[in-house]
Amino acid sequence: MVMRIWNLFCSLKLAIWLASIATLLLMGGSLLVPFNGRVFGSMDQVPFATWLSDTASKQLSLTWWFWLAALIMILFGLNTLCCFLDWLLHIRSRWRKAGEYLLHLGVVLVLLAYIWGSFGGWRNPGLQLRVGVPVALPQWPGHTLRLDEFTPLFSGTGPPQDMISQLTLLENNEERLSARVGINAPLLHNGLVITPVSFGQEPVGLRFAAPDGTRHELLSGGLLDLKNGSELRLLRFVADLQQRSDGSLYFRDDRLGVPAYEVHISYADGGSWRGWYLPTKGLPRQLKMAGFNLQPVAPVYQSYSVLTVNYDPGARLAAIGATLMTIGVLLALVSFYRKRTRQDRPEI
Amino acid sequence: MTNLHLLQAATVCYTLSVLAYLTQLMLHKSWLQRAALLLVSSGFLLQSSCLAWRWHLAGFLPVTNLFSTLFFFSWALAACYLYFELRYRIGASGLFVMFLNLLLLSVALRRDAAIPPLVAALDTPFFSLHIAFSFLGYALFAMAFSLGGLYLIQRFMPNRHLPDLSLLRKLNEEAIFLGFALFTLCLVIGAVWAYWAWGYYFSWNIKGIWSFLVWLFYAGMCHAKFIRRWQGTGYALLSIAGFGVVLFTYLGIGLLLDSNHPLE
Ligand code: HEM
Repeated sequence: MVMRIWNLFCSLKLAIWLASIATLLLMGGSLLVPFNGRVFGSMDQVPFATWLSDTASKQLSLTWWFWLAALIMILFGLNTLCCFLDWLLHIRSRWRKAGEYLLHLGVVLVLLAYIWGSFGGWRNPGLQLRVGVPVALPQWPGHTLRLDEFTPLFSGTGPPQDMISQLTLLENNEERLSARVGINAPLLHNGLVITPVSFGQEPVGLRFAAPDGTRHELLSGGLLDLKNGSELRLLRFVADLQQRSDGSLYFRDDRLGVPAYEVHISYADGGSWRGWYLPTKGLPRQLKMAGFNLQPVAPVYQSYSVLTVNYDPGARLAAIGATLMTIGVLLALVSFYRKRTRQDRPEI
Repeated sequence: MTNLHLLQAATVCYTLSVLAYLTQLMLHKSWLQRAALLLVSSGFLLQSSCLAWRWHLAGFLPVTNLFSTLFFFSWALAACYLYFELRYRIGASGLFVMFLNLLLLSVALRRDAAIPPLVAALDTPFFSLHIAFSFLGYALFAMAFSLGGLYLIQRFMPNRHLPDLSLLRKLNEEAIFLGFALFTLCLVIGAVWAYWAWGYYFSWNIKGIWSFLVWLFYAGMCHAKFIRRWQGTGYALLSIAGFGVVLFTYLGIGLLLDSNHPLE
């Protein structure tokens, strides 16, 4: 019985059948992909296994072919592995086929790596990072990522030539590694891969002019000593502050609308006031009393970096598989003609 | 400046060579075959010079828009034809490949030949190698299509001026194997590049799936030749079907469907 299964999985005919069925299934099914973005659109955003369990399993009428193709590819992988093992068992007489069989082993390893990465990996397709603000990696407890510097590089108009993020990875607040990430220059670390996606700009405060002509940038967290001994603390800056009909406040998105500062004033006589200052709506009495005399001039923008942060535990295995495939193909290429001259091929 | 005179001259050479091969098919004069080979070689040299010049002007292998890919595909077809011609003197047996070459050039020559600036993401040797291997692979699959078609003609309407069935079968198998090997390199390099650029090495978009299908199909063909029942006629039919898959992957997806590999 075991022998029969072994022979079946070593059989070339099974391989051709499996490859043909998988090909036909994927051909038909793949045509559904561009027309059903709701179902298939997230396939690259999450690990494959997550997509299968969260999306594909709930849309079986559109994805049944996928499950079948996946099953057949697994059988095909087993088939390829058995062929490789069979070759290993007969290596004394078949060593000349090393190229072909390294290719077979490479394919098996890449398939395994893909399955491993699909189940054990995670994906973060659009993590926004602001300079100096550490962001926790939700799927990797204890790890945070900090953007130390961000530089978009332009050459004339058009898309950026590069987007350089200087990053530091922290584990339990201890720096683990620092690296520069740019286009085609990812950070690679034990299965973690970080690549740039895009960047944006957001208003982070306003620039003000003083009566003597000097300019001051007022940003969240800033502190200003006012002339009459009062102190102004800028608790936060909001790009667009709106008021509901019941009087409560809410913040709209990060585009500039009605900019506002939440401020805290400590007066020289010991009193204090906390409230909102909306530069486009005039100066509140409390600020005037404290001697605030700056005029808003222009918004201050800061760039943020959008990165893909993925973790794929199988990436190293996939790289080994790909290397074996490459070596195997090159060996098979250079030995092809010699083997043909020797009539060295199986006929089934 | 992108000098197309070299390409136009190459097109003239290729056209004359096709005419010479066709005449040779009727008159069976060996000097015609020699002349045709000379013309193809001259065309290839001219086209290679044009490619080298455009590469030098651009500072990167220019394969980033439809003109450049048609140009490069046509160059790969001519290279593949010359390889088989010099090795086996296939003569008119590879005519389909030369026809396809002329067709690509005639479409390309009507398009804007200016080299667009390189998008940052494509500024890597991975990209150039990925494209170069993919078109060399496609060209060999086109050659297999041609040889497969000829096999069927020879099988059902034998002609003593065409190569015999066993040679056609052998050449067809060789084209498939070489094409598969180069296409494997194309996919491996593409996967490494995707991992560097996007953070994953396989993308579930339609182009990714169909490129994998092309590879799987021809991997299957690399084995089908060992099975007696599939040798010869079956193999010829598979070569023709396979090229249909290639055409859909290269042209159909870019032209008909939304993809991350659009054709402009
Ligand atoms: C995606 C998976 C596979 C790929 C890419 C692949 C690729 C190849 C290639 C390129 C060759 C060389 C063909 C030639 O010499 O012209 C080959 C040969 C061969 N493959 Fe595969 N193969 C795969 C799966 C399998 C499977 C599942 C089997 C199991 C039966 C198998 C069994 C063989 C055998 C027996 C040979 C002939 C080796 C010889 O010349 O003795 N292959 N394969």
